Amino acid sequence: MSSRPESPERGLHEPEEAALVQACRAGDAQALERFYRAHVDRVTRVIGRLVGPTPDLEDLVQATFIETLHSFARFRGEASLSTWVIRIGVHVARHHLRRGVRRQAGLGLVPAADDATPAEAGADARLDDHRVAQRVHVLLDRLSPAKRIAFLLYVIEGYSVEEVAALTGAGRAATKSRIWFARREVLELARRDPLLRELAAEDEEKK
Amino acid sequence: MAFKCLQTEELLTAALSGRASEAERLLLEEHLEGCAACRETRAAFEPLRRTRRWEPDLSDAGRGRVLRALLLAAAAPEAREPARSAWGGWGTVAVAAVFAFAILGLFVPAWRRAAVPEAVVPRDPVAAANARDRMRPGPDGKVTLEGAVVELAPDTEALWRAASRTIELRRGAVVVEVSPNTLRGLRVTTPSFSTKVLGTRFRVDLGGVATESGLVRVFAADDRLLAEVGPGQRWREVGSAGPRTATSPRPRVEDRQREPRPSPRSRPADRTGRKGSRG
Ligand SMILES: [Zn+2]
Repeated sequence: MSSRPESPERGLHEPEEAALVQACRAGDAQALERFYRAHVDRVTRVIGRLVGPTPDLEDLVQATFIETLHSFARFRGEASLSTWVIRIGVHVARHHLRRGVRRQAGLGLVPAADDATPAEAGADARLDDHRVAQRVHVLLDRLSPAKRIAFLLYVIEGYSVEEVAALTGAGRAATKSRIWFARREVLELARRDPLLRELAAEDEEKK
Repeated sequence: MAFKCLQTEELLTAALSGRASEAERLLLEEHLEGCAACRETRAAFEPLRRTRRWEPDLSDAGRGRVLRALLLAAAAPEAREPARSAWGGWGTVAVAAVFAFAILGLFVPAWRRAAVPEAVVPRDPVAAANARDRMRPGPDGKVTLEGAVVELAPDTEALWRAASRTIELRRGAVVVEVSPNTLRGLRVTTPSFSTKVLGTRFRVDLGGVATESGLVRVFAADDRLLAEVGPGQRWREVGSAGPRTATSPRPRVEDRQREPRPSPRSRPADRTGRKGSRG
């Protein structure tokens, strides 16, 4: 179960955040590690949700943090540090999607062998969710990256239209229309996709 | 107020992303019971609900690798706050801070000073490089790729596979300068192992890798991660003297290799499923 995203404004207080950014800019390893650990899970989740299951996830997360390192100089605190990092992650994801190269873990593969989480009760369901997500993202490949990203941030990650607009650097009206058109396309593709129907049917049987 | 079928998609969306109120959900459920068309719409939403349940995650090992890469990037002063950050101008390659790494077949210290081979000069080096073809340098001995410049030693034989961003080194040596701001990794393969890098400086010969700065990942021929080689560290394949080590013995890590992480992680080599124009 995924909850609504934490409020972007949550986190450190302004002076504290400014001090952390200052230390990170100076290359303070402890500060960087603190910053990294505070944000890596969320960055990973958002990027993963935008690009879908891919062996490139680790590289994309890495690119996001390296890029953030380059960008600390321009951090003025208008947005929270958390929003700032997610914005960069969204940008990295869009860049990746524009490349148009989809490297997928094969259907049925869990993300990566050394990523194996303890296989317990939820393992089956997790694998199935992974497979469904994989297929949905194959369909999403047919949408423009801008539409795909707006749609997923809004529908899957639960950001508001205003937040999506801020994260993608687009206007409110453009964001709304992207979400609307993307939803129409996605539903149409999902209705027509035989594999997805099959996976959904499998799921129904298991219930 | 009567419920209209037109509202269904909006309400299903709200329910999916957790925005629907209890009253809205009840209204929706009630309507779905009596409307087959809208139940089909709900079925079309099902894959999205499942997609939302999928939680992307990195392993502890993966999180550790990214942290090390971040700390190493921060330790390199030129990597921090370049004159023009990619955040302000993505898409173009920043040349302000350029990292270099070298792949050397038979390392000849003086080869850079040697005469440039009498290669055919391509009209457009970028276009030439994008082809899945032999790398042929211009008069300066270089080939320009997106986010990287490759210099070829005389008598070097190397192929560039644009789709997978891979340089296949068959003979000789290459020096590759990767922009630290590029988001696109680059891979160099030799007959027995391959390396992967996102902006760093290192040298490889067919028997091993030595890193000056940055972080280099070494993979076996079957794409298993063999080692991560940090600054000042060296990794050698045991007993590999020549380019052909098809049945290479188990490699070991020398020097200050902190974590010789033999990893079962598979890295599918096939990345040729590209479509559309190149990015
Ligand atoms: Zn209806």
